[in-house]
Amino acid sequence: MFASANWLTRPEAPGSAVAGWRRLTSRTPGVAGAVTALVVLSMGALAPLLAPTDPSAVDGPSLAPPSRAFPMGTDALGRDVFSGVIYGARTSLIVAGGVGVIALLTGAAVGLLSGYRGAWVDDALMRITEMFQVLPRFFLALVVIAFFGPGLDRLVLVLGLTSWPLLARVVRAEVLTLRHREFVDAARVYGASSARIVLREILPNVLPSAIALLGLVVAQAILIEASLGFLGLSDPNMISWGAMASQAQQFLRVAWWLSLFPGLAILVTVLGLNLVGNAMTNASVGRR
Amino acid sequence: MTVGALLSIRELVVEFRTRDGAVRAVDGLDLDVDPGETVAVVGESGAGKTVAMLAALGLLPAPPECTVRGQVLFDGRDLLTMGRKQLRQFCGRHIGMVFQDPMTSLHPSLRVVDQVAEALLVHHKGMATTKARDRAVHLLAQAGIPRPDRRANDYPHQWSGGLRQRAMVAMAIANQPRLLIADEPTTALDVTIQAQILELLRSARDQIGAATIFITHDLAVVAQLADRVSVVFAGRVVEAGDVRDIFASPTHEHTVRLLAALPSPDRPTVRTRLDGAGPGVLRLDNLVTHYRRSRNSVVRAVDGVSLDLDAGETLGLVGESGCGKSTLAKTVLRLVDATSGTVFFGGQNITTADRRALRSLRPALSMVFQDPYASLNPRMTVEQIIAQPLRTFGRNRSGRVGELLEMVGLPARLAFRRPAALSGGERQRVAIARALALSPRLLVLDEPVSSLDASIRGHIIALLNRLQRELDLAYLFITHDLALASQICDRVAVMYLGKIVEIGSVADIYSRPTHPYTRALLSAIPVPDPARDRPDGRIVLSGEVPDPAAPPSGCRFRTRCWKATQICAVEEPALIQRSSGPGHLTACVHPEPSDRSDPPRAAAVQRA
Repeated sequence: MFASANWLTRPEAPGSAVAGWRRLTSRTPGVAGAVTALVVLSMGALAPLLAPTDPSAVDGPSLAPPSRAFPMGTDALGRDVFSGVIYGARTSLIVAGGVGVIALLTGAAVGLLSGYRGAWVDDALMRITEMFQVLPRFFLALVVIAFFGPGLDRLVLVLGLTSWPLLARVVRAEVLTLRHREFVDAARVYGASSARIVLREILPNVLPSAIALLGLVVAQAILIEASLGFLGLSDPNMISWGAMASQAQQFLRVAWWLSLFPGLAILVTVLGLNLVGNAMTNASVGRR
Repeated sequence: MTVGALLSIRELVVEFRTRDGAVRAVDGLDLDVDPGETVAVVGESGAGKTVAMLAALGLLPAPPECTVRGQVLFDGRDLLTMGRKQLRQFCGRHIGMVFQDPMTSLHPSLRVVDQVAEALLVHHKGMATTKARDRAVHLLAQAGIPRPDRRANDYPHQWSGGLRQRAMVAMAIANQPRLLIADEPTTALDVTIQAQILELLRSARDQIGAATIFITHDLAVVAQLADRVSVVFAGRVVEAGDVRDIFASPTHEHTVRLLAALPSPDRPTVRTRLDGAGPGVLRLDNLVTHYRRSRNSVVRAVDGVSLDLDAGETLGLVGESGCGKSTLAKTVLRLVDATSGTVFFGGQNITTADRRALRSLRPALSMVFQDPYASLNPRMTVEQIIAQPLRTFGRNRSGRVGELLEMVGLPARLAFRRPAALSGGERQRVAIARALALSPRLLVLDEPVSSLDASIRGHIIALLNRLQRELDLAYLFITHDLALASQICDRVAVMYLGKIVEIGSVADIYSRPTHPYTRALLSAIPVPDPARDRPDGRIVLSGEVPDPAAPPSGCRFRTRCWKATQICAVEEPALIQRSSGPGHLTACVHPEPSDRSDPPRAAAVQRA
């Protein structure tokens, strides 16, 4: 098909997962992001196997610089920073996963309903979306933690419930372009119900761009959790990169390793998720 | 090499780099164009004809994505060795181009006049802007835009496709180019507008004496416009020669195939139809569908249409874009609600059916859409697509999908592919299989072949004909293409601005048309025969279809009709029998006498 020059951008099989993966990894940033995400994921999942010691156990000299025994040094109480960074991935993953699921479900539901129903349903839902969109997320999270005490569960809930508006808007925009496509009309002709049309015909076409955006949304949630940890508002029972960086503050001049490694972990994870998100967005745009 | 050729392309090779290696889009193409001559480059989509032209003009992406080799001599200078900037200036000065889609080839946020003026200013550095604008208005007038001085502040979206294509022509001829390249300039336009644009290109060419390259997939269009034809297949010219020779005695099998695929209104295919038609399937009674465009503008898309359709019969619904034929189809299928009137399907009223009744009717009604690239869900496999209707009604689908694939002539191995891996023809077969899944009695076909290549059209039409015979289906066949309708329809209804202006058997409509609009449509069909007289007796309708929100009073066609008299503005002509043919109805107070021996261009129309 060489009818026009833009055939170049048209992949052979846009629907298949293999083609999607190929497109995602066809650029270096996408590969880097995907690898980072996988590393963080396995770090969190396999933390007990990977970490040399229990991150809260005192098993070394206080404030030891990075060495063979302690690759990232130890903190003031003699705890291994390397193990802390590995276990810290769990906290970030729980936040990322929880927020991701809540935001995707809410965002997709609102976006699909709004885009497909249109009229007053659309108006009402979009006004509500805007309301959520203008809420200052960080301060809301701060207030909730201040009122109900630190805890990962409420943090995930607050961040999840304030992260969906962007997804809802993107899904709605996609639905608006899809709902008058001929394959949707075709489904109406053979008598498919609205639910069937939305779930079987429209949703699979919307999902890629929603998931692409999700990477960015989730990265922000991780950043907020880390910020709260830095302010000393994280769950005391969980090891979090933000909290580690926070405790490192007072030793900034004597023990650089305490702040560097948790900080790097946050940076790399957020960057990785952003790269994946961007690469997926590009891939789903190229699909058209 | 021809001595004194204006453009001479030699051994042109274009390769694109893709993930799966290099793809050779143009493979050693040769082409010569003499000054003042018109050469048609004909081929199907993917043949490489457009890519070859873009490559010759340096409009393709730079290496490594794309490499161009060979020689392109324009007046003795090799375009391929010129620097980009030099090439741009040279081409802009000497070559004018008209693209396929007038909807996208104009800048949406600049005034049309300014865009034409821009073409002048780029190559005449010292020209004053006001002078360029004056000249642009003049050029637009030359391109047949009515009163361009009044449209000086218009933006492209305010113009119709036909007007925009005229503006493109004005831009192309602005600098008196020596070569005019028109790439499918009429493919996106209606037949009557196509006739206007072809006339315009012809006169523009004659005025400035430019050589013309006409890129098209449609041999019929070039038959009367071109001096020579080059047939392109798989990136190379497989046959080239004088247009008359090519039509009279094509030598390459691909040319033969292209010619055979041409429908001609002169030879309507006589369909063998059971006499004493089957039971009535569909009846429209004074159907009206209006929809609101803005607060105080109501589009009268369908405005009082009555029709009936029997089992095993094909009724063609023919008209230009905006005549309401697609809205009519959607109303029949209850994709939109009727404003008034009724649609009876097998005795049941569809227009008032409630959700439950409608659902029970759904399996019997089906539709095939125009664009098989849009009508199949890209994320489903062929098997899933065809099974969807069966799932919806909880029908057994184990063997049915395979059966349907076989019915439409697709190999079973395609079942697990996705639409993107199929060709246009295969996709349309999948769409037909899906439409047949629930064993319908009525199939609405909305331009089912207009987005397909000519050689594939024939196969799909044959398939539809076979399926109709086997399954005793009723077809409502919607098309803008009268020539095509003659191949598949038993009866044809011609629609204009929401009303049927003429309806009758294929023989009546094509051999004894009585409504002026029908005659104009027939006359606008390019006659694929260069030996026939250059069409001086052709009826080229002036103007465009009026706004369906504010149709003219009385007869809606009167604003474009050459026979219109005062009574036409007052009296709305009834659709009644005005000639001898049974069931041949016309809505015109000045019908063409059916026994008239020589209407203009009778030779063309009456040879049927």
